[in-house]
Amino acid sequence: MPTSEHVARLPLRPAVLHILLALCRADSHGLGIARDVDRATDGTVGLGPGTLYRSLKDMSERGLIREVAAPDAGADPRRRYYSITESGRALVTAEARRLARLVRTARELDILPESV
Amino acid sequence: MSHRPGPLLRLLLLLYPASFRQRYGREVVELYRWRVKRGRVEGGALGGAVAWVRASSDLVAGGWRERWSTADLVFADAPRRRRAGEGTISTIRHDLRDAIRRLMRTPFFTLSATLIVALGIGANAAVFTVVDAVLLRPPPYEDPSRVVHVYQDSDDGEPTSTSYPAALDMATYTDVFSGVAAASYATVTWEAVDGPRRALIEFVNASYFPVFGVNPSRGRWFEPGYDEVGSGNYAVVSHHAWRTKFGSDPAVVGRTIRMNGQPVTVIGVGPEGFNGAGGAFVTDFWLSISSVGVGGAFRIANLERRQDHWYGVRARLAPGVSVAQAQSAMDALAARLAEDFPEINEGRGITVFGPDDVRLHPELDSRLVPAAAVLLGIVGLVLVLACTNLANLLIVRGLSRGHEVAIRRALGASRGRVARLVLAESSTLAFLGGIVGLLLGRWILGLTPLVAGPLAAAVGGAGDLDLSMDGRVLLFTLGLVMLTGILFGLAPALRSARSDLAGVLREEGRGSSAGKRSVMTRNVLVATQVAVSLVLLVGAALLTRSLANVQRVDPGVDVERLAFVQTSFGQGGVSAEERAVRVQEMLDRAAALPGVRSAAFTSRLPVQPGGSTTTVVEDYDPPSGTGSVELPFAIVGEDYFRTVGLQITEGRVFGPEDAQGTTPVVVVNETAARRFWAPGSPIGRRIRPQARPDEWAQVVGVVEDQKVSRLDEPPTPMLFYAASQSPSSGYVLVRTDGDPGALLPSLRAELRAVSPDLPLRALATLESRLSQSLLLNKVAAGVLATFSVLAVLLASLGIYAVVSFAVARRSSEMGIRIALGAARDQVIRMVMREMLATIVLGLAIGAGLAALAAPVLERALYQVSAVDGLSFGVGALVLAAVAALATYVPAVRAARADPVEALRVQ
Repeated sequence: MPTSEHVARLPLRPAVLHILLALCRADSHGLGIARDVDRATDGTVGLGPGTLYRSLKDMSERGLIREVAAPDAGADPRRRYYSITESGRALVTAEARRLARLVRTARELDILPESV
Repeated sequence: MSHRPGPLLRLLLLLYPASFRQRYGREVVELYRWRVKRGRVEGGALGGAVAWVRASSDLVAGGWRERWSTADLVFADAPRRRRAGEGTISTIRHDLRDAIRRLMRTPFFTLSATLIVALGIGANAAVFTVVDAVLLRPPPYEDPSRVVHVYQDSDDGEPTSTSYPAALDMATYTDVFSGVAAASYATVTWEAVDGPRRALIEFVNASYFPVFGVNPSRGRWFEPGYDEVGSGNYAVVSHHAWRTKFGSDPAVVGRTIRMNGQPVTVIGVGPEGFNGAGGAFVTDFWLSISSVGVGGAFRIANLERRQDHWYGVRARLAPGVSVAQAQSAMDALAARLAEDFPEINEGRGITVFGPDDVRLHPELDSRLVPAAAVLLGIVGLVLVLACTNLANLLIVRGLSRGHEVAIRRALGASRGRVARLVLAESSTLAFLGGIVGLLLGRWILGLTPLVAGPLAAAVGGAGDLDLSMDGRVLLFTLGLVMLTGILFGLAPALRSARSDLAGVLREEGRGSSAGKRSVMTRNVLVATQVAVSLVLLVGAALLTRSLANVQRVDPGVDVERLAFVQTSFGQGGVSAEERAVRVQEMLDRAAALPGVRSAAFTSRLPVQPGGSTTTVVEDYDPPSGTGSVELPFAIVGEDYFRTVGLQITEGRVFGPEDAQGTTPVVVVNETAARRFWAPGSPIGRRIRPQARPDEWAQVVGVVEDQKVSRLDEPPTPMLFYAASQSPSSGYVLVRTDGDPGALLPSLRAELRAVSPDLPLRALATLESRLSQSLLLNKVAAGVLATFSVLAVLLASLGIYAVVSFAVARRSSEMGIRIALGAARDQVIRMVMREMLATIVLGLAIGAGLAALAAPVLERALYQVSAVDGLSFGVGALVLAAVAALATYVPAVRAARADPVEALRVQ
């Protein structure tokens, strides 16, 4: 579970935020996550190989994600699949909430139109 | 798509820790390829390239951060000390602080380690300073790449020096040279305020400063008119001499000083940092060509004589002219000179050396460069020794800290981090050692004048060496410090990083593979130390034997009973006749002193490096094919042979009949008689200087051989001319009944009486002069001996540490053995046997290295083979004995261990 200390340490690094979001959609492997993030951000966030796998390693160690078995028989057995954990989900929720507050403030100040 | 990474990708992956590679490597490659491919699909070749650059740099940055950064990967706003980018620096700072704290806890270890490093680095810094100053540093003048050396061939065919007329001819080639500087070194007696001093001067023409592109810092330089004899005596004092000998007194410009009894006007001070053509060898004064009379009347004649090669030429190439073009111009000049002066210049070439071909002088370079290489090699070995020793100490220290390291590892410190802790410690030690080493190096350099002064005097020179430690030396030392820190930290760092965690925690890794490997590492270090020590010991032994051989050489004359006085009459105003009268008076007075058996005049002392003349020997065709030979000579008085103790073996010595104007006569030594006229008799044969076809001198006698220039020379032919026929300046030699040293004061007083203003340039016993001439050999042997003692000391320390530690680790095993009834001397033998193999291996490697390195010393050795069995044997024996002792002491301690105590530790 994300402690108040975790929340206090937000924001997340963009790579971590996007990986967590991708895994909220479905369990996936590294390349799948990269592809997913590319699609979701129109290629503006292109996770590089070093960044992605270092992040995956660190996030696993912290228990934000965990390795899981391949979801179907046709998957490449050499690939590692990841699933988001409860604490990962809580953390990304907290981050989303923080961003939402940010968006709300921007709208109140009329620097962001309602339509965006 | 293949998943085998290409070479670049493999390299990039190496940036990551092995565990990371194993776990993610395949997928990293997969994503990398996918990114590049996608870039190409979407953006063509350019898009592919951009994607490739992005993915690669991401990999590199990731690898670096994975190993070294402590930045938080999840949270962007981690606390400051963990922010990305600062992680590396702060970790290093932390490591260093930690290392310093730990080192301060063990002051004795830190002090001795610092001193060991300081010895290695200090020796290197000092030697590098000398080598750099003499051979490497860029010359301190304008655009050195355009300044060339030009030399005529000597009579031996080596391009080494130039006659003054030839230098003038070279200066006419203005299409290839924009200026030609002619310079001739001389040593003069300069009457300083505090008494006479020797000074190194260069007689130079007015083009000298312009060729080097330098300007005086005070006053002015010579005008072109000063190249003519008769326009006055002018000097420019070098900046170094101005600072060290005149206390930077600005009033020196315009002052008249006296050199060799003649007045010389100082008109300027040279530029700072420029010491003359000799680089680090400081010229004290530059004197104009018009002042050559200060060096002696013969120097005036010199200026006209094409057979006298007294000058060195530096020329500045005209704009756009290459060395090759200058060379072909000089070839043309050589051909012209051969045509105009066939007697002197037939077949004599002129060589242009580019600025990178020659540093000081072709001959000097060929002697200095190998000497510099040997010296650098020796101090390099000392540094290697220091490093291996420290590596050893650090390993031992690391092992005794096994628990601490193990706990750090258990608490999550990575291997890299543990290795970094050790490296931080070794770097700190290297840095401390570097600072102390620089101070030590400065101190060593401070000693060089003590050696350099007498050395210069021994070869008849003078002058200082300008040895300042500059930025280059600091840089070199910094490089050494870094190298040292890594070199002696690496083995221990790797070792402690690899150490078997559980094993150490269980019981200090007894018998574990890590333990064995560490014993292995340390044995390799000990073998290295033994090998290096042996190389230095053998070198020292060779030089010492050679020195002993040289000292045993019979100079051929009765050295123990001879004293000498060197006089010079002020060259101005004393006629040859008057000088002859004065010399005779000096001889008479000296001979009349109680205790003096005889006195004689000579232009050259026995065993003194000196001049030779190109001589034609009648009916002798020298193998060189030039028709002439270079022969050393002395001009001696009637009593010379009796005074020095040379027996006449044939014919007669000089007598009253050999007066000025009679047929010139010459006495030759036995080697000359044998070489030129054997089996016939030399008496009545004739010889003449090559340059004077009509001056035949007749051989009237043969004397025993004496050593001519050096004690270690082979038998050398020599000529003696009669002083009565060709007056010369020189020495009064006296032969005494007792100790010649005791006679010196009365001799001085007696000669002063002849003429109170007579400058006495030297007064000493021949024995002291001879021992001074061996100074170079002594210094060389002394330096090597010092280093080898140091080496043996370091090696024995290393062995001691290794054995002590090995024994301590096995104290329980020893205890059990003793408890089971092993005799103590059996335990001692066992420990020593185990070390023996390492020491023998080191000795074998060392002997091989020494045999490989020995030829370097060959030239410096006299009657000792470079692979002299005795030197090798003694060296090995000494080393083996010391090593045995260093093993024995801790072995005995182990054997004395109380078995009960040892077992209780279990």
